[in-house]
Amino acid sequence: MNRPRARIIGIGQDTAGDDGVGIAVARHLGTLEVPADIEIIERAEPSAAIDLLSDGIKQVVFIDALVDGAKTGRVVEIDPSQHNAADGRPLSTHGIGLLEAIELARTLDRSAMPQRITIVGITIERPSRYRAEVSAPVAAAIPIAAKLALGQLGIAR
Amino acid sequence: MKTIKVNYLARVEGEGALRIRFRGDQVRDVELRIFEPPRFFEAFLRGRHFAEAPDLTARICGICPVAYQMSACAAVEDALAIRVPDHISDLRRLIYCGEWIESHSLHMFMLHAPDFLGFDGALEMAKSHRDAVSRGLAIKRAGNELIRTLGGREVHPINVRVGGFYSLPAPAELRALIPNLTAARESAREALEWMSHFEFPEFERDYEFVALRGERNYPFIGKRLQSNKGLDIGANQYDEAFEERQVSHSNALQSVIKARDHYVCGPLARFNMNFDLLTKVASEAARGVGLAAPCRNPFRSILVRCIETIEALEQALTIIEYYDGKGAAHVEAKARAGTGYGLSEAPRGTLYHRYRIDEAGLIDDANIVPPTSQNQPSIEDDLREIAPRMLTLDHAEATRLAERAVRNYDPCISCATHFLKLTMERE
Repeated sequence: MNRPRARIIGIGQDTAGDDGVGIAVARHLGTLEVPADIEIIERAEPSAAIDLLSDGIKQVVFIDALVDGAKTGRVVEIDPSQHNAADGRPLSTHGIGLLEAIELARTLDRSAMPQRITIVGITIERPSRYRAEVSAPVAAAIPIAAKLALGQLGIAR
Repeated sequence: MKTIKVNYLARVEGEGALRIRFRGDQVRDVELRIFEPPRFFEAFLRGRHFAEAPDLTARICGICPVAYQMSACAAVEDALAIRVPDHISDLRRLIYCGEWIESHSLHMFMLHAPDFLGFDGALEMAKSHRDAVSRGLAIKRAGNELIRTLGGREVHPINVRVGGFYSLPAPAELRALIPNLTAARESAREALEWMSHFEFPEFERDYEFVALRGERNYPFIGKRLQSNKGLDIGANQYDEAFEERQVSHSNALQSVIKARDHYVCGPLARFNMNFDLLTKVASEAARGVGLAAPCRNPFRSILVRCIETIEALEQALTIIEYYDGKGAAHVEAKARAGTGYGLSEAPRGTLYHRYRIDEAGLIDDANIVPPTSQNQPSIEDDLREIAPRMLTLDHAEATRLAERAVRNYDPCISCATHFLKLTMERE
């Protein structure tokens, strides 16, 4: 592929239940006819995505699970520039949150940052037990999140 | 009575708190409270097939899943009387190198270095130490790439199984990693020089250091556990030598040596017990910053982690250099009744697994002792000794010092229950 014009990054892990919804959306996007200049990538956790923000890419859309107390399966668009990096505490304290990762990338090399970064967040309940697959309300949110991610890139579905 | 309370420990894995109570200038008690709920992994391993143990136990921790896989494989293979060939042992050491590299670099650069430079976290530190943070991220990336190449993915690898691996990588896949691993080794050497100029509090104790003793290499997976105070046992003697105690203030069990009591495992213990086994590159790097065994100052553990990172990178490069891709991906494992014992060195310290398996291959008893359970009593001892210094500090500074003393051990509370709220009480 030639240099992509934009990148969609799903954050999450397999067999992590609803916390894996970010990569579930990325995989769903992989089944759709997405323009070749859109790169779809999976990353297990936000710090592993820092490099993907500083290689000259123009636009990035992250997809990640969100624990915000709203109804499970709600899909929202988040503008990271409107939030304090410390607002997005990661579920694991041994990593850094997505907002922190974006802010860290900006601190390390502001000139290389994409012109636009958005986050598509899918509300989940705080994980409390082992679960391999995503729950029904979160599964129902996958195509909605995929459509919203593509919409951010000006692609109507 | 004065009480120092840290209600939630930051920059450690899991949820815990710390309370220190004073009567006058005397420390009355120190409690490292781990309130993350128990996770009952040993209980739900019962009735599962032995082949599931590596992947199930890997789920205990997202930062050191390889350690769980390796100790699980070692214990199951011991029970089934399986011996894996050298090329499998080398590849296991290689994926373990990846985990040490990514875990140590995360702790050194993102969690621990800010303590020495007076920042609340990596994000604030990055504003004035951009190169250091970039260097740390590049080292971590090299470790993650290694795990992904050999394990199928960065977190909770899927290519590890009892008897070896599901598939072996092509030599070219591993050789493609050499440039980044080589660059990471140089970055780690530069980082060690940078960190050697940090100000380290004067603090030493007469610890009992417990670690695997390597046979030919600085240890990742091994058979003999030794200490600087005479412990020398095989994995199958672990339960005779150690006991886990329940304490009322913590959901994590605390492990002690039956004959003596508290001890330390992890980088400092490994370094002190295996200094002679470091590769020339790592040994010279250590001596270059004036560090040699014995090192009894836990605040210097950040330097030891960096030396271990150099060691892991050097070992990884050597394994890749000699890897030819030949040999079977795994040894077949057939069920038989037996009990097996497995030891390996997780980034934070020794990880013990024991399984009793029935004739059908089902696990009917399991025991897992993670590093943080072993280090928790020593963390409390360190805090007890350091606490009088806190009385001369304001609460914010006292809290910072207490958290530093805890972070020296890079504790993983998710593993131990599986962190800090500091309470200082003064009568």
